[in-house]
Amino acid sequence: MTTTQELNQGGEQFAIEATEVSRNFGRFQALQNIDLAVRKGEQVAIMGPSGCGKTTLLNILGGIDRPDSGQVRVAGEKIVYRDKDLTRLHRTAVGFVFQGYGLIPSLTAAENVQFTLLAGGVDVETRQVRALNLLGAVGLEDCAARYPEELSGGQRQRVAVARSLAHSPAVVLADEPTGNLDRDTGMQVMGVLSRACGDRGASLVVVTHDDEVAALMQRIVHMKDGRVVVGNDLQLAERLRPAGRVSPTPNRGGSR
Amino acid sequence: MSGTLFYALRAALRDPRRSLSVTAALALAVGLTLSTVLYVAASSRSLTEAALRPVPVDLVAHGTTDRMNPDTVAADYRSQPGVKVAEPLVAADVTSIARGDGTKSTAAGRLYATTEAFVRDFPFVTTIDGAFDNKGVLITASTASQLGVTTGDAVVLTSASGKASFPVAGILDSAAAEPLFSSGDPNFEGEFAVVPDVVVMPLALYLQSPVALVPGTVQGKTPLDPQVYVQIDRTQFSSAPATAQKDVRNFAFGLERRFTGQVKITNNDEQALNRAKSDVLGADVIFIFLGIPGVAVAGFLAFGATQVFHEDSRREIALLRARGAAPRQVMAVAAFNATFIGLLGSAAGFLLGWGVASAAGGVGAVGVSEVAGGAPIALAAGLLLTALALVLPVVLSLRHEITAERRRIIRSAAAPVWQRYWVDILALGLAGLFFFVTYLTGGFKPANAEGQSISLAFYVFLGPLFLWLGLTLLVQRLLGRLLPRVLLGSGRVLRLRGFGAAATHDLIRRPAVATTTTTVMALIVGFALSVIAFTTTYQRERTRDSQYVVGSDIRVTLSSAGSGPADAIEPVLLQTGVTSVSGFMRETNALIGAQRQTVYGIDVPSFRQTAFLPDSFFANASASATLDALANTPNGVLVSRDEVAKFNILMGDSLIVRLPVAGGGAGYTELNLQVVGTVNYFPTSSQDSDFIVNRAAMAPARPTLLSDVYLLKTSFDAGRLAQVSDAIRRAIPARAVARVEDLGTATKLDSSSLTSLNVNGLGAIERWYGYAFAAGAILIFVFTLMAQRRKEYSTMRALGASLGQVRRMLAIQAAAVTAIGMVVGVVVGMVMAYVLVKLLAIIFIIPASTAVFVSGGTWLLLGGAALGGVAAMAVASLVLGRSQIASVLREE
Repeated sequence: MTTTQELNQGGEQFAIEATEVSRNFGRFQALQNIDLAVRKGEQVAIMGPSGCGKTTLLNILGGIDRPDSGQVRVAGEKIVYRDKDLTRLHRTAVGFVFQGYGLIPSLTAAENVQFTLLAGGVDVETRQVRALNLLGAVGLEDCAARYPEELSGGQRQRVAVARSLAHSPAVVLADEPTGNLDRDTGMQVMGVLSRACGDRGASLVVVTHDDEVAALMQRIVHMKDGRVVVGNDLQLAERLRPAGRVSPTPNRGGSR
Repeated sequence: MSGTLFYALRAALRDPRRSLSVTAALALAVGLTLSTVLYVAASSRSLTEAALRPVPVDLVAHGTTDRMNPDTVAADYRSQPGVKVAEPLVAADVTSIARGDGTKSTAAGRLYATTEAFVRDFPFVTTIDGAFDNKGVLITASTASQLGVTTGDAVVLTSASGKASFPVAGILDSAAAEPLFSSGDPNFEGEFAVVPDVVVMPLALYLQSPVALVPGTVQGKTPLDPQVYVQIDRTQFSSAPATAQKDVRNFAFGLERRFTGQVKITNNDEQALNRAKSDVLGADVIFIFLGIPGVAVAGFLAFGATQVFHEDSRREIALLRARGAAPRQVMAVAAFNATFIGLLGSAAGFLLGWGVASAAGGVGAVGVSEVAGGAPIALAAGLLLTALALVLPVVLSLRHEITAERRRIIRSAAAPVWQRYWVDILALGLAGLFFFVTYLTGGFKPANAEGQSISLAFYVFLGPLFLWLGLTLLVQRLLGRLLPRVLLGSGRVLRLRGFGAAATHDLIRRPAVATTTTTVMALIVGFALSVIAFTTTYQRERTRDSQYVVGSDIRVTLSSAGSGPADAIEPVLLQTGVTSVSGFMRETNALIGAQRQTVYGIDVPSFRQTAFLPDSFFANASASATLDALANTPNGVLVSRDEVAKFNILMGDSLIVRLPVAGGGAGYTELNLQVVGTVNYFPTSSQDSDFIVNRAAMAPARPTLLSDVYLLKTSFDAGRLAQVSDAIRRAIPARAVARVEDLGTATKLDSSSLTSLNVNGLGAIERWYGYAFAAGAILIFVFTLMAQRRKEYSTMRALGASLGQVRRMLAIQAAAVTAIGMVVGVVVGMVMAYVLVKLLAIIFIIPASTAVFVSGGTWLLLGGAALGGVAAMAVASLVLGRSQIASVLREE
């Protein structure tokens, strides 16, 4: 098995490096000594049965949960669990896509996309231009002034995708992004997400139960009982990848 | 059923925050209701007591013939249950009272013969010198002065039967004895009136003396009037004045029947209880208008508290429905849950209300019967509010489909029925109509209804009720429409950018919670402010009434009966705390035309400095201008409004006043005066200050310019005035007879009126609940936002908003709602206070023209509300800081 240390010794750059990460909820061990690395631009799916720790791992990778032991590096920087440092991490390095969209209902689609930039103090013109570009990229140029309640589920999730990329993060973390959508819409959204990340060189980590969604990713990590059981060996993952699987986003960029 | 009950109980216990919040709000609402009810009940009882307190004799049995034996009747009455005291008194004419040496004598006078027990048990026979004893007589100060006798000297009484000499045992305090002389009138005016020649002596001594008239032998109107004075045990009667009045009447008839044809009983309680009945009614009016809005606001607050958890409830209902629960079962769960919380809130409110009503003071302990009577009210109020706040939303939610439940609808629903049918405007119109009718019929004054007991017409209640309803709804309508514009405008004015602008924009997009909270806040501030303004104005008017009666803080009245030099009084008045003194002359026997009038001679500069002189006392609404006119016109005179009307006097008219020559000589000195002003009221007297002149103008009729009455202004508050009064009493030279009155004694004398109501007690109850409501409203708003937006705030933080930014957003929103709510509340409060203050017209001598809006209480309320906002924000900040983003985001 290739560990992150070994890969680092090989001089490889990673968007995410989690080392011996453990997380307990009371007596329940949600994560046990997880090692995980995600290459820059890599797209990874995390799968596993309910309660195996997928979302917990994703939250820890994104800095919105804190491990009991171990450490996480995002874009080469170790996560420091202070409000100031976490805020900086979320404004620069990490973008989130939530299962329930996580759009702020009192803001328009464009304003939602601008939110992280607004929090970061980016000037209004820059914010607007970037928001419109991103909405265009996800096919929602006409919906910029609409409020979330006026959008369909798929449109809301595409706005969420655009928002996750507004601040050009190194990594986008998506928790069940198709969980509230029907199959076709879900695949469309995943296509948009995967392509948008690929176009911008952002790594993508998706937690999903859906094999079809996972199949769109370059690597699948399987978890069980708080451990990674398959997929942590990058080379192995490459080998295990079924031949002939066609990506629904054939024109996406990024390396395999 | 047991499963449903079990689930409902578990639901209540599973979320203690929700249960406790709603219970706390309910407890406040129920507590205020019960406090008000208990306070009203206890106050009504205190009003009955207060009304009867100044009545020294409940019943007087007058002999219908002079043959009635008062001793026999008194002995019989004493044996009756319910009679505390029954003492005989004989009033008889005397043809003259003369010095022992016969050198001076008076005209015909009146003799009162009674027992030592009478003197002990009734407050009429008190002395300013000497004491009542078995061997001598008491004479009035004016008689003593006229005859030149004092205690220890002898006087000779002459009657139709004969004459006899008696030693003078003491000088009678005429003021205290006045009700005795004007039997049947229980009122004290507090004036140091000069009583004609009167002698009081022991009944046994009288009956044995040659002066005693023989029944059946004398002619005249009432030369011999045997009476029995009866004090009854008032505790046996109802505390309700109307019932007590019936009880006393029946009791009096019972006594009268024991000596049918021989006695006729005068019921002195009748008038006092009549007044108490109207006072209770007035008190109810005040309590209703102070209490009902508070209860309504409290109910609104309880409803608001349930809205904090509205989303949770909706989700729970949707979940229950999705898992197969029938609407009936969901309703049953809600009903059980509401009953559980309602009972809990009612119990807590009951204890709170009882405690607060008892602690408010001023009405005595809240009795067990009142508490027992209040318990069902508390329970009913609690369950009603719970049903409205908890069950009704469930019923409404059940109308929606499950799928609709799961979708968040932020856009406001269609306007409620009352808005579509303009109920608010209709209510305001009706309020205006009822106010107009009330105005046309003479204002908020009790009126006799078809010869029945005094009552208030029903429409008097309706005006303020519709005003309150209309204002409440109008505020909600206007806020719903104007809040977005106000917020946008405020944002522009304050140049809010970035997160600040997002905060205001966010509020605009959530009109429901912002409008509801702003409305609640506005109504709470309005309610509390109106109560504060009312109680402050009430207190001011009460003090003003006392100041009007006394003239200033303290009044010292000298009597000619004193043998000490009057000029020796002045220096002793300057006790610690006295800042200015003004003496004036008073002539009660001046003649204007053929009518006897009282004329005051004042020293304008010191009077201006010392006396209570509001502008409203003067027809030209300027105390300064009127007194200037008097000071600048040596022969000027100010005339009361009543006398101006009576004599058809115009400004500049000449007025001839004849003053009796001082020193007891015959004849009058004529003063040619010029009218320079009209007074509506004048300090020192509610009845006889009709003509006021410069003191120097009275000089021709007086050998010296020594004063009869002194007004003293002090730097002390009303509570410490008694100290100064006592110091003056101690310092007054021996043998000088003087009466010292201050604001405290004046208030007590007036205690049979509504002014004895402890409105401050009720005001304090309402005010403190108001503070609690204000803090509760802000807390509810902040926690509603937080409960509704926990996930949003966590999402924001995951998207790069710092904790400080989220806190600022919440703070801006809370500040906006608080500020707008307070501004609207101040306007609503001022309108309501104006109406409440108008109610004061039925209470005070001087109608209150303006309300006191700015007071310590106002600042305390506004500051408290602001502080409550800050505290709520501090708590919210802590909660925000401690919330785990990941766990919040994972919540379903």
